[in-house]
Amino acid sequence: MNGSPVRPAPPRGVGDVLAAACAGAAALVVEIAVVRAVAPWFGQGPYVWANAVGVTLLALALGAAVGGRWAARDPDGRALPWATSAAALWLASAASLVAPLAAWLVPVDVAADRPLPLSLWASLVATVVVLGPPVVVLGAVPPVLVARARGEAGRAAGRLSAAGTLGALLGCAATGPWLVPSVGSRGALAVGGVLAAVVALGTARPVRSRGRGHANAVADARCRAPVATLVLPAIAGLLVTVLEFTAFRALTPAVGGTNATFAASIAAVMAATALGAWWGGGSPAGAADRRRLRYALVAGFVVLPLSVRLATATAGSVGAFPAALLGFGPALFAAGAIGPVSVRLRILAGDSAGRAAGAVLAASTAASLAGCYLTPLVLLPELGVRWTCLVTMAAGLAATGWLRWLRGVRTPAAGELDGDAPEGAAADVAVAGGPGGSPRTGPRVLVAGCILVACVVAVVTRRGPLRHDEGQVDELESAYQTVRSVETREVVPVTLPGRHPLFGGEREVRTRFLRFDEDATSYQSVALPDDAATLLTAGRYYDHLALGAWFDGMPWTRPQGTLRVLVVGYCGGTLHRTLRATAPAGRRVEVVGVELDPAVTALARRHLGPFPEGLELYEGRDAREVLDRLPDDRAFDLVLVDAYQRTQYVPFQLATVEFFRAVRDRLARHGAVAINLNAPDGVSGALLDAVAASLAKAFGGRDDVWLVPNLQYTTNAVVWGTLRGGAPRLAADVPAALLVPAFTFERFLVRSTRAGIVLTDDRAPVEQLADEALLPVKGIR
Amino acid sequence: MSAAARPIAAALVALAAALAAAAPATAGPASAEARARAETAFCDGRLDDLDAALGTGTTPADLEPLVLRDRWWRVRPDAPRPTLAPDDTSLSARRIRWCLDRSGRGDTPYPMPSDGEVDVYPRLTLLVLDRLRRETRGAEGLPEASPLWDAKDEALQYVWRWYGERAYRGPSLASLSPDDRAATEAAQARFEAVVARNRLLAVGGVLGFVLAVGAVGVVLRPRRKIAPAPTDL
Repeated sequence: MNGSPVRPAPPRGVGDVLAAACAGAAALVVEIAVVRAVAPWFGQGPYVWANAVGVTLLALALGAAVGGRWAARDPDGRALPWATSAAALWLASAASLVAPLAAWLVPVDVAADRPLPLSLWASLVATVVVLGPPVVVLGAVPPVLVARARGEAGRAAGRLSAAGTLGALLGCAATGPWLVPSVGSRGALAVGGVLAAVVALGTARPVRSRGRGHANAVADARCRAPVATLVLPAIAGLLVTVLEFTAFRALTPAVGGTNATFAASIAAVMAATALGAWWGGGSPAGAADRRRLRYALVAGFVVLPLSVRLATATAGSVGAFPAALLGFGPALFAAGAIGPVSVRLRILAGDSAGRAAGAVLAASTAASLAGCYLTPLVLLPELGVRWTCLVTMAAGLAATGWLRWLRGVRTPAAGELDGDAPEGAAADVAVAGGPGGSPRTGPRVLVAGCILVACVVAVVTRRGPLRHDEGQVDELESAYQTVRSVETREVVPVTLPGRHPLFGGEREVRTRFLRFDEDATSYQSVALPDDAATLLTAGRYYDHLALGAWFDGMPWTRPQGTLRVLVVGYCGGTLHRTLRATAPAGRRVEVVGVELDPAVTALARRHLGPFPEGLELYEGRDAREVLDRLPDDRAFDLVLVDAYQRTQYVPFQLATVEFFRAVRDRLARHGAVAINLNAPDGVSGALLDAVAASLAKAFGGRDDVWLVPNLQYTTNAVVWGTLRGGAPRLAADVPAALLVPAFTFERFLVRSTRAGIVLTDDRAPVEQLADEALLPVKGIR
Repeated sequence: MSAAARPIAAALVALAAALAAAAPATAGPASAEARARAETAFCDGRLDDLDAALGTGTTPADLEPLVLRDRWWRVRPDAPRPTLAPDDTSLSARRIRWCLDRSGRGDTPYPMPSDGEVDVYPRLTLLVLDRLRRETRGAEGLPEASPLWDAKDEALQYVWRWYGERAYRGPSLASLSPDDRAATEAAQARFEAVVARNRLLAVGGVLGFVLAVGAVGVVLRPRRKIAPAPTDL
């Protein structure tokens, strides 16, 4: 192959770094967007997320492996714009197809309110179809960019890895809180297409072959690099993923489980990893690499358990990002440095730059894939945060043992690791683009530009609701979930004078629901616009929770006094309305409401009516944070916990001993706390027992925790905790509207006596406990 | 009703209420029928109806359901404290003392009829025993372990069995009507079929995806081999 005339090389650094960042961002954007797009059918349970993250990582790992080979054949990345353009087109098309695909995989009329057994598998199908091919292409981008990078290969790998990680950080931080609420999940998928098209445009001007340095000249060599250069990045990939999950879990009790906490912890994790990659890429090559890496690993991982402890202790005051950086930064920095160092070591051992980058990325990403299942489904539920950190520390230190296999590493000769050869040197590797063919930028730019425009159109195209239910009035995609306002006419039980409360009559009423994600017949808020005064919520759990205001000793049972209530999970204000409707005439209800998702309250105001007076609402906040920050003298007669995240799951930080202790400290002497729980098997089940056991422990280990089933809406149960001792008693003048809840309370309440797992901030496997009831394929007995 | 008729109607209602209030109460033991009516009202959760049935009663047997309601079942702080003859050891008197003295929260068992004694309110006895059991031993063994499971009163037993099964064990196919059961089983069969389909698609999809990318990797294998650069690794 003849070399082409030497011309000034185009500036590759900035464009390729930008392309790497866009590729990293695109992968994260589409990963989050696809989960949100299928959530109205699949839900957002741990398995759905694990599958989406798993498929993304699998595709990235495969892409990196393929990219390594691709880079060996096409070190200038001439085919890159075509491939990334195709990926962009795929994502833009997927934006329109994802909803029908999800609806077909998990039909609402089949799944009803328990789609998990269906979505467990369907989420794999949907993510493979929607994300698989384009993410493979995105995963192939970094090795190709490393191969065509100028300068020393390890440094280039570090720089591009850092850029990709920072891009992923931005994609991760922006998609949930901002992108999905702005353009919808399908629009966000198309944004992934836009980013892929930007990669195509950014790489459309191929690097003119002007000869290759040693790093690329050995492209076809049979690599003799030690296996440690793959094992080490694999360990690093695994540990980074483990720490990523652990960071959010560890910080949530201190600063709340908001999107801001998620973004801050992910940002800290990725920033530290990117910094490590940059440092690893810039460190001196050769034996010094190994020494510095060992020091970084030992220092970073030895301090991990202590630094995490310090971070969780200080997170409330310093904030999530600094705390995450403090707690997890050193270990992640060390882990991030492994990749670029390994790339360089592999090149020294005879591999080409592109293939080395591909192999290292593939090993690292494949191990991350294991981490994304292992951490949320095994490590954190079984071991808790502290032990997970200890295990991670041990694994990190063990990784230093592999460094001894790199003892023979030599210091490279000058220019040996460079992607560029001395000027005028002949290229000696076959290039896919043809023999020294003059790169034609025009068609690439034209196609990539057209596809970019198509993707932008796909982003801004207004589509109908993601899911449309009968009677649906409105739908919005918030930062956390899809929320639908649905109006139906339903037949509800009513009590009749002189009749048994459970055998009264029936009446058809107009009902408005707020339904989240996969809700089919279940709901998160309800209002009976025409009958609220008499029927309240027609016997639903809100009525049962409101009964607490009529416990002996409560303000309603005294001649005067205001009822002070903390509602955790204010949602559409149903509990507040019910409390207001059952209050004695002229008495005041003061409610402090906490709602994580501000979009929910906004939609509720529009469709369920204005919130009652006497409300102090904390929107976009987590109850843990609000409880910590309320004035010390703020006490409540009643604390009602009706908080759910991802539709089906009690937020773990609101079910732990530490949370219930914080609640206990805020309760008045006669006060009570109630938690509404899903109870598909009546007042039994691991989650119910665990929450009751945790509440009992927080209340001093006494057995004053009580379980009340719901006889009419049998999938709910209420856990009550009281400070007074003994079974709670209702006051004599319970209003007639609460006749059925009062009957149920007195005739079916049971003391909680079964042993359950005590949930703590360190270990609270609430998702697993909930899934025990949701996962079985078999239905009712 | 026309606007003019409203004041007349209101006046008639007020007159009737005044006459009713002025009528002398018939003191003395409540009838067996009144006691049964009160017991049924208690069982049905219509606790306010007890006063109408037993309000004129004066004996411990008449007071028993009211004291039980106001001192143990529910709490009415302003409820009058009944006076009992010190030497009254009847079942009702013992139970009233139990309600007054222990508030039901101690370990003292609920007084039961001794030999030859008649329990005037056998259904209330079952309710109290059931509630005491639930509040001390929890859901263990329920619903069968409750005294209400074998209650002789059909309504009481029916409510407990029907709702107790659902409350403590969750819904079961056995409790459904044949039509509902058939519909539930059909829905379940469809559910399982879609699960099986999705499982097949997932396994096939992931495998197919990996194989397809692997095939691309094979296509992209290096075309030409050259000698490796010398290393001393």
